[in-house]
Amino acid sequence: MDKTYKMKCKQVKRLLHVHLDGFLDEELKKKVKVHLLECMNCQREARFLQKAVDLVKSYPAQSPPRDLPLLIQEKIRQHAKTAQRQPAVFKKRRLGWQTVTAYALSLALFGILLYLIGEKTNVSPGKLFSSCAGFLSSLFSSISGTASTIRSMSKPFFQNLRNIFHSLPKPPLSQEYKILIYIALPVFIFLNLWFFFTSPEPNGEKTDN
Amino acid sequence: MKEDKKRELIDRELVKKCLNGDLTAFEELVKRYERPVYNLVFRITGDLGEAKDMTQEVFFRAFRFLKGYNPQYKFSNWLFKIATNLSINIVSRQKKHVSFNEKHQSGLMDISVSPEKLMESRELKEYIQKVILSLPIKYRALVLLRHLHDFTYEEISFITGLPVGTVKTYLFRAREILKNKLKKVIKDFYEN
Repeated sequence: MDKTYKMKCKQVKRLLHVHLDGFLDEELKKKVKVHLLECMNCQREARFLQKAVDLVKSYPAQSPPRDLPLLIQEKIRQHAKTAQRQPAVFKKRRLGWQTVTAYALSLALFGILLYLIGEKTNVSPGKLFSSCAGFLSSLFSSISGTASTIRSMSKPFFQNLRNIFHSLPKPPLSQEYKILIYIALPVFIFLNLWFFFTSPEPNGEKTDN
Repeated sequence: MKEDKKRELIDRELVKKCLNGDLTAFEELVKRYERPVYNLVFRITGDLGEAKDMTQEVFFRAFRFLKGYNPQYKFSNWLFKIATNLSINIVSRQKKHVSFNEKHQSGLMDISVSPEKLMESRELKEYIQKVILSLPIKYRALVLLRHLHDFTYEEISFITGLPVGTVKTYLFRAREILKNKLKKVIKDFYEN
């Protein structure tokens, strides 16, 4: 009997919270009330709970600072201005493709230049290309290594630099194209190198055999 | 109830205007919700300076992502969703978990004033604030949304992204914690 009584108390304890929120249906509400009349312990718990919630409700409300709407307006107006200055999505894409084409063209010109130099100096263009690519990659890696070291050493300086950069009009490339270029360029260079190293010499001695 | 619907309709109209590029419509929305948003953020963080900065951020985000707002939900609930999530994220990041101070409790017990006066006193308000801030952040936000902003379980579920059942469980646990922490105050000032 004692056990069933305890079970009821447990149930009532949970239902008290729903009752307090005013979401308990009539039937359950009656059952809870009947139980509370019989059980002093639950009655006390219900009283504590109600008072605790009343105390929470007495948590004071604050008046917002007077300049708050102005600050919000200022922030939004500034954002609206910069958003107008920003190109629309389709514009970004067009500019992005322009830059991609520019990259591809400059790369092709670079290749042609190497080929012409190779022709004149009798050095195979593949070797020239590989030495150039090697030089450039080592240069970039050393620059990025030094940059990251300096960045970790003098963060405020780079933050200022970044602020200056952000205050300038944004670069035309969207993030996707930037990633595409960062991936495509090394792949392109690698494939070129691979091709030049693995392809046979144009005037090879193999033909004599 | 009628007022609530009227308010909702006006909000929708203002959102429409705002989406058509009318900045004054958004300023009107700021005027309407500046106070409740500020209070919610302040109550969750317990810091006035933080509340000022974060209220700005809430409205700024609301403006930026207004295109993504689904008009089938109340604008106020959507705004409170932004405010709650932002506050919870900030508090969790800062680990601003004010510990419940027993000394504070014993100090409060020494005040020999009537319960009515104590209810008005600054000490009690500060004490309650500390007790609320001592709750884990997920419980704290729910208690505040339910008891100080009168949101229903379903609305809290939308705002926090938690299922209704979880909302009920968290509220139950939070109120049990509050009841146990405030028991001594209640005993002394309501039962004596």
